[in-house]
Amino acid sequence: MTTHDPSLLTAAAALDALEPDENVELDQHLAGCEACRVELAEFRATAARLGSAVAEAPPPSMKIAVMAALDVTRQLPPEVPVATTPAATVPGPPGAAPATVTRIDEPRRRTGTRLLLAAAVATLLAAGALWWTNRTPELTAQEQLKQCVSTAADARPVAASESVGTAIVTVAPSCSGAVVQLTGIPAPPAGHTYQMWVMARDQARSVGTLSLIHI
Amino acid sequence: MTTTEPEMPGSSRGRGQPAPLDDLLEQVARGDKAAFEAIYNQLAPRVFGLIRRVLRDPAQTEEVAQEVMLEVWRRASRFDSARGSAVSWVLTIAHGRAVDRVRSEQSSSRRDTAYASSTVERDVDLVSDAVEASLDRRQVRHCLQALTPLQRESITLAYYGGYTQAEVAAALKAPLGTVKTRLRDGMIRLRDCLGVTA
Repeated sequence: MTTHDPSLLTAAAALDALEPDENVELDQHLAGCEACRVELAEFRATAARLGSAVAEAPPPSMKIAVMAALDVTRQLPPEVPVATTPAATVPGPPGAAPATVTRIDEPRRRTGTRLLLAAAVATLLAAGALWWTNRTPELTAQEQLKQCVSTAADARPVAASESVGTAIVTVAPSCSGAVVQLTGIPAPPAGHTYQMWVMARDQARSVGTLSLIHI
Repeated sequence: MTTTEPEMPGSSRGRGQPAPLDDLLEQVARGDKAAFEAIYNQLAPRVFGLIRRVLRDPAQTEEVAQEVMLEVWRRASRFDSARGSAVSWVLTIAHGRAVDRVRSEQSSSRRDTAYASSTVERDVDLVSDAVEASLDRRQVRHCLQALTPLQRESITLAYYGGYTQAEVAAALKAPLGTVKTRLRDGMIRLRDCLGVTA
């Protein structure tokens, strides 16, 4: 069997010149190759320049048809990482005792995947914790992760059974993170906030406190 | 007749300075029809022109181009400016749709190599003899000319012709491995010549 490097497929992928099985192979490879993802984006941008070079005025009938169709064409909503019951931002004073902890029961998986899940959730929350605790309006890192996971080809939802509310954790290795969707979580008592823990092996690790916002 | 948009080559964009089209697309994601119309005015000619080159058939071109613009409206919330420009995102959708249409309509037996060979020269000429003198066209023409003939022909057949690598190899009567290498080398040179950054 000849060995070949799937990372060499990026140029052809950007030109949509791959066979279906090569596309699958590349998708799987991209999950673990940041450099390949960057290269693919560069080649896509290069191809877009080729496309721009043959621009041609479309017929007026096309614009009329498109603009008329907007009203009857549903837009996809953005992915939302946190959905809650109506609540104002609940700031917790530093050092507040943790309220009810939402424990995420992981389904039976291989150890490697379990650790990946833990690491991925931690990455998400580590990236977001700064924002939560500082409550600055800067959302770029969180928004980027949100978008990445919502469109990642390797995104996998992990269901969780809870005693309070429901949680879906969507892990996307290609985004080095995960999105946690919590619903039905009641606002914590005054002076308290939620704290999220990741269970890895026999250790519980706190990954930050949550500000609940109404979206 | 072709349109000229005020061109803002991606490579000249400063870091941390979102291009106007990226901003507009984010507004479209929030249902802003005026923003969508602005996007349409700037990008529909590129979408239409590219699809026309790949499909050849004018009637199908308008249909597919319409689908693409509506897809832009539909999926605007999934655009992430951190992962690429709005132009790249839109033209990626456009090219993908055009290729899907071509491949679903043509069985491989109809892609006879005689037709393919005769169109190679024409395809390259159509790009090289572009009447419009916009900066973008001049840059692309210049950078395509800087490739070796086999690199240029491979990329032209793949991108503007919607050919797979195997089909390019058959059309050019070259080994598949050679075509794969030429495609990659050619795209690297194009990328660097055009100054494209991710």
